[in-house]
Amino acid sequence: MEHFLISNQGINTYLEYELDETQEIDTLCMGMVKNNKIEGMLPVVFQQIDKRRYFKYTITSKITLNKFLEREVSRHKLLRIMESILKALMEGEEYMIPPSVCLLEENKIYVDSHTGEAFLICLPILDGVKAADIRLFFKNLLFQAKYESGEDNSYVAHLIGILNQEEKFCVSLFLREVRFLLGERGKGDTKETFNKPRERKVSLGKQHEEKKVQPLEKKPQESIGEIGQNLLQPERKGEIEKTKQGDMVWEFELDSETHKEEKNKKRGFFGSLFQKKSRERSFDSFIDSGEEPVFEFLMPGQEEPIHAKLEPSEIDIAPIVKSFVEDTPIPADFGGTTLLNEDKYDETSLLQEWGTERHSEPYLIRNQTQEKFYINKSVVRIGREKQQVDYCVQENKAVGRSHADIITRGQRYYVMDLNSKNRTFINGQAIPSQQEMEIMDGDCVRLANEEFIFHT
Amino acid sequence: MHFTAVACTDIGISKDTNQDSVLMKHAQCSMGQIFLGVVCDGMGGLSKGEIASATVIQEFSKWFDQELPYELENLDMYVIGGKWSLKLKELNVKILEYGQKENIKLGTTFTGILFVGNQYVIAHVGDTRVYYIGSRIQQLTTDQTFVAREISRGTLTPAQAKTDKRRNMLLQCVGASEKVEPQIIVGNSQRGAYILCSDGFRHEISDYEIYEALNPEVLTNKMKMNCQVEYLIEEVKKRQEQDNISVILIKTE
Repeated sequence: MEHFLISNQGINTYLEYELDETQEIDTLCMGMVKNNKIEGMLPVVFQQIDKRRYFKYTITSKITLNKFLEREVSRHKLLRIMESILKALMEGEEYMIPPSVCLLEENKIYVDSHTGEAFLICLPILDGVKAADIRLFFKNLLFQAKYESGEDNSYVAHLIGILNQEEKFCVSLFLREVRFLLGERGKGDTKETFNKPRERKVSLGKQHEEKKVQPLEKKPQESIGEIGQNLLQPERKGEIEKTKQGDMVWEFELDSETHKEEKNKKRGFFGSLFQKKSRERSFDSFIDSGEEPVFEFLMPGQEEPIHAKLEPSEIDIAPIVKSFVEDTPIPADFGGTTLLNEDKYDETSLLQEWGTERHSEPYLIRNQTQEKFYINKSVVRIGREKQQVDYCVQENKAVGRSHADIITRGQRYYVMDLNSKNRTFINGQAIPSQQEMEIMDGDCVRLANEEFIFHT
Repeated sequence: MHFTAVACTDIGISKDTNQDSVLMKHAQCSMGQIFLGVVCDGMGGLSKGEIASATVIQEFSKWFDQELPYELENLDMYVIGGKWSLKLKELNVKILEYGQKENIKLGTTFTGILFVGNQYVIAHVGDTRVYYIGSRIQQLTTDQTFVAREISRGTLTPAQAKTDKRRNMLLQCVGASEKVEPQIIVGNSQRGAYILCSDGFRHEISDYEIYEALNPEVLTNKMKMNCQVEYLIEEVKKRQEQDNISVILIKTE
């Protein structure tokens, strides 16, 4: 059975793993991951709809390690990735999550392309998942990576050497080696591209009801997606109202009051239980008490997520025939004011006060034609309709008349899909309509099937 | 900044329809008061001008309700100006296509101003105007008319322009031009008074007369503001202005 599925809901992207009937949840492991923010692991939510059970991971703004490695990696970048994976494995151990339940596969490890940190998926299933060979994983990683020329790549041989050694593989020792290499500056080290984590701006989208401006209220939204978003980006400056930020607990809201009470009690109980391994006393008390740990999430039917599979969109093939009747240039008489029908409006007589000057303009390159065009205005529109866009994509009928905008806010850049039929993608991931999504240097912005590379 | 505003639109003495459309939106948010004022002077016989100006006004009213809140989260007046400009281009195409389908010609001018925080942004197409009155009266927008262009080029003097047959000829308008290039202005709002008006309002009166009647010293309260505007409109009609007349008067303090 194909277990994994990627779905888009609102502003977020999720990876879902559907369990088959034979698989049993490792409730202890599940509790650990659910109730603690483990560095380097993707937070997981459990959902059940009728008989079907899912683990859901938020992968918004992340790309798979595979995709990340399609481009050249610097020494620093690669070591950082390895460090974060190793750290995640070690953190997992502290929470009694064995490496065997973590997916060590390049297409199942997610990377935040801005911070260079890797995130693992933990599948809390009782003896279902095959334990990965960590040694082999790292060897493959080192073999697969595309190295930047001009850098001192001797560290690669060094690490492979360690991985080839006879002795049993030890995560902490290997991590130490990696950290040592990170600390040491190699010859010809390329400049660090990750100076500080840049958050992808996500503005509250049209999924919300019409917001009245008077007074300007931001209703706290308790969707899982938002909480997930807050969890993954704790440094956001309050653009979205944070809910339940305090204890970072994901809970399903139950209807009845009694459940709420029980839930609060349990949170306290399990809160102390699901601490790190060092608190052994509470662990013992759990075993002794004989109480069945009932997890709230086992209540079915509480939430109905929308399972939107990313199906290939239909491409609009029928050409739009413009039956444009060219008028003879006579000053049309509208009564008092008349319109001068000139072919070209003389733009030199217009005063365009754009304000601040841009020192170095970003630009887009259209892959198909290698054409370059500059982002020299606050809002640049791309589409097929010449008269309403700034950059016209004429021949491609899949691109909408007004397909997307590139918006400049200070030093940051965003793309916004304008309810296009065939959608807009950043690095392969579809973005929701009518929401500004931040783009970075090197990102691939695709309008339907027309690719552009964005450069700052 | 605190806003007090009044608006008035008058069919005038000779027209069958009023093709001007006027929009005012006033709201409160965490940043203070926000104010949007738009005047659209429609054109195209058989009341089609109304369709054009009303369509544009409705789009901007919708924008205020639905999109402005998101812009406020990350306020950038230049981005708003950019989006307005693109919106006007889109509307231009929409109205143009409608006109082709119905085999009529219709269009509208557009002059809109949005005040947020201590800035304003203006988008402008045509010959409707925005004035600012502080210690003196200042026209903020540039008329996109044939004569205005000729004056700026030096081929016509203002005196000649007054009597020139083409003095009301527009260079572009939304819905009837192949391409529109709106004028976008971002500025710092100042205390005083801002006036948006259609050309019918200011043909027969001088800038000085506008200043006399509408300077902030005179505008003691809303009722007085209404009074002054009505007085000017009556005066304009007395002087046989034929066109529709529209004004929005905003007092800022």
